[in-house]
Formats: sequence, structure tokens, C-alpha cells
Amino acid sequence: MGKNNQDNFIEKLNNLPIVPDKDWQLTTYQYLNRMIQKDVPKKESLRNRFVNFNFLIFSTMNTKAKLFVALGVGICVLLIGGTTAYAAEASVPGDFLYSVDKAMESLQRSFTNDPEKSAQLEMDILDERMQELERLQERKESQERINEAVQEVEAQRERVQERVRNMEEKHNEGEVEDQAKERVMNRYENQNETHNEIMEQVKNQNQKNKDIDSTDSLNVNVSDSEDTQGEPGGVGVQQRPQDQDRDGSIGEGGSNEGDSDKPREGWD
Amino acid sequence: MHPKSKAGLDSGKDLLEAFKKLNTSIFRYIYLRINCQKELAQDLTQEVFEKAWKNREAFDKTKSSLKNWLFIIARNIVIDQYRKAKLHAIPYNEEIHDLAIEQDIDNTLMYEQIIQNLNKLSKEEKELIILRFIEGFSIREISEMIGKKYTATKISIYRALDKLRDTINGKK
Repeated sequence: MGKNNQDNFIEKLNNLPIVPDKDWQLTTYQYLNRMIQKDVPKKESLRNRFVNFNFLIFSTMNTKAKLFVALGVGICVLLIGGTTAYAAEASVPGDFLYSVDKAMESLQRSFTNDPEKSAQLEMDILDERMQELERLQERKESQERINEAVQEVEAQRERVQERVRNMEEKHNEGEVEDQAKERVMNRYENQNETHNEIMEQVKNQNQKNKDIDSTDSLNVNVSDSEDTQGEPGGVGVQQRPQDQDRDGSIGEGGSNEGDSDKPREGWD
Repeated sequence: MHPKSKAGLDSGKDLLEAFKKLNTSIFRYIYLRINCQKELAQDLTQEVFEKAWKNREAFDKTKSSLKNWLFIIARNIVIDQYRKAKLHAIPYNEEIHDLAIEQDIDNTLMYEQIIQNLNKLSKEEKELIILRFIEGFSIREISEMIGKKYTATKISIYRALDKLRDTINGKK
């Protein structure tokens, strides 16, 4: 075959009229569009704009200025951030630095994309929330602050369940290895047990407080009843509804019954 | 100028643009490699773009173009398909007339002959012909894609081309 024939042959290969269906092209384009929309977080565009804006300011400086700014910012971040982060780490719900602690957690979340790491991070945070609750109990803080901490624990627990579920889905799709899944599930189960124990303690402590309160009230009311004749023993009955309310608020947050297997619902 | 990350697809818009531009090429590559099974080729082409989006962080534009990266995904999907379905057993679909549209009759016959004879080549030879002469990749790009040295790839490509031409001319 001569050169012309070869070129002609290659040209034919180059122009093979193989095309997919037009309908397929359209439906696949729409499908991909939906998939992308579903996957891209709404805040992403805002975040990108912020980063781009900052970069624009930075790009107008000369190299020396950039170096100084970078150094200055770095030192400030290290000093302020380090001290605040350390202090925030030890904060408990209701403290001034608690919001800093939570902001830093959000920052960590935004840098964690891997399903296993994401689940592990949420479990780290749940450990922290449970420790905060224990600290508040040890300090014998007000019931209000303890209730707040219980709510924080439960909210974080839901996040953990969501991440674990997500990791399981990714595992089913083959994106997460078996070993990674096993690591997460083992820790998740251990953490569930710890959670149950802590909530039991909270419940018991609450019961004790309630008993003390009712005894105090009884004493007060008994002395009152001595003044107001004809109502002996009636006070104890009057105290009940109050106790039930308080019990209910903890009970809702801290009840373990039926919770341990909650994340597994509907997974299979 | 805005900063551009080295890694990852910048946005979903990039992927949709790539789909508009490359869906036919990727479909054609897969279609020819899996013995002209049109429906399956369409499904697998969609899978290429889905995988690209799911693994978008893995794309490094400093190392390869988006087109190359998508073709590497397509190639892996075809290999997986071969493994899954024992694709040596996938029958060759002879009904290729619906593809060769808008051509005069001589050209149509010529194209059909090329496709039929292409399917007589080995998997590797067929892939080299598709990548070099149908999809227009450079020899360097192909050598990176298939993990062979430049010279070896070049020799294999021209051997495959000779073989295809000879097959069409009835020499083998």
C-alpha cells in the first residue's frame, strides 16, 4: 500500500462514524447534572469566592511584602490560635470559649473528606462531648448546664450515626476498605457502650438530685403543714408533677433503650 | 488571576463540559473495545463520568489532561468489564449499520469492513489502533496510558496498523 493509500486508510479510521444515541446523550447529561448538584455543598461557591478574594489582595503585593505578611499572619495565628485553641479545648457547654471549640471542630470537618476519617473525627468529637458532660457532673453544675451538655452529646451522636451510615454506603460502593469499616464499627460499638454508661450515670445523678429536692421540699412543707392544719402528707403528692417534668427532660436525652441499634435501621 | 488547584476537577461545570466534548470519543472507544455492544457501551460511558466525579480529587491537571484521565478511567472500566463478564465471550454485534449514518454507500461499506476487521485483531492491537488513529492520541500519551516505553508503543502501533490493513486486503 502506497503512502497515499495509507493516508487515506488512516483518514477513514479517523472518521469512523460511531456515535451514541442522541437521547442517551441528553438523558446522561441531565443525570450527571443532577448528580453534581446533589453532591456540591451549597456553601462551596461562597467559600471559593472568599478564598479567591483573599488571594487577589495577596497577589497585588510584591514578594518581600508577601513574605512579611505571611510571617506576621503565621505568628499571629500560632500565638492567638494556639492559646485560644488550648483554652477552648478544655471548655464546657456554657463557657465563653465553647463556641471557639465548636468553630474549630467545624473547620476540622471542612478539611475531612475521607468517609473513614470523617466518621473517626465525629467520634473524637463525641468523646469530647461526653467528657464535657462528665466534667460538668463532677463539678456538680446546675441542672440547666447539664441538660445543655446532654443535648450536645445527643446532637453529636446523631452526627456520628450519619457519618457511620455514610461510610457503610461508601463501603458498599467499594470506596471504603473492609479494614477501615471494621475499625470504625468497632469504635462505634465501644463508644455506644460508653455513651450508655454515661447516660445511666446522668440519670442516676438526676434521680438523686430529685430525691434530695423532694426531701427538702417535704421538710419545708411539713413545717408549713404544721402551721396550716388539716393538710398532712398532701405536699408529697403536690411535688410529683415537678419531678416528672425534670425527669422527662433528662430521660429524653439520656434514655438508652432502643438507641444502641438505631443507626443500623434501614441500612441493609 | 484566580488560583487554580493542581489537583481535582475545579467544578461540576468542567465535568459537564467534558461530557459534551468527549462523550462521543469515549463511547466510540468503549464501543469498539467491547465488540460493538451499543447499549453496554452507553452504560459504561456514563459510568466513566460518574467515576470521574466521585474521584475528582484524584485528578491532577499538572500530570495529565482531563481527556487522558477520562480515557484511563474508560480503559480501567473496560478491563473490569472483561474480568466481570469474561468478555472474550461477549459476542460481536454485527448490526452496525445504524452507526454508519450520513455516509454514502461506499464509505458505509468501507467503515463496516474496518470495524469487522478491527474485531479480528487482538485486544491490545485493537486498543492501539483505536487510541492512535481513531481517537488521535499521540504515541507519548498512549505509552503513558498503557504503561509501555515510547519506542515499544510506536512499533506495536504500526505493526497493528499493518496487520489491520493486511486483514482488510485479505492477506491474512
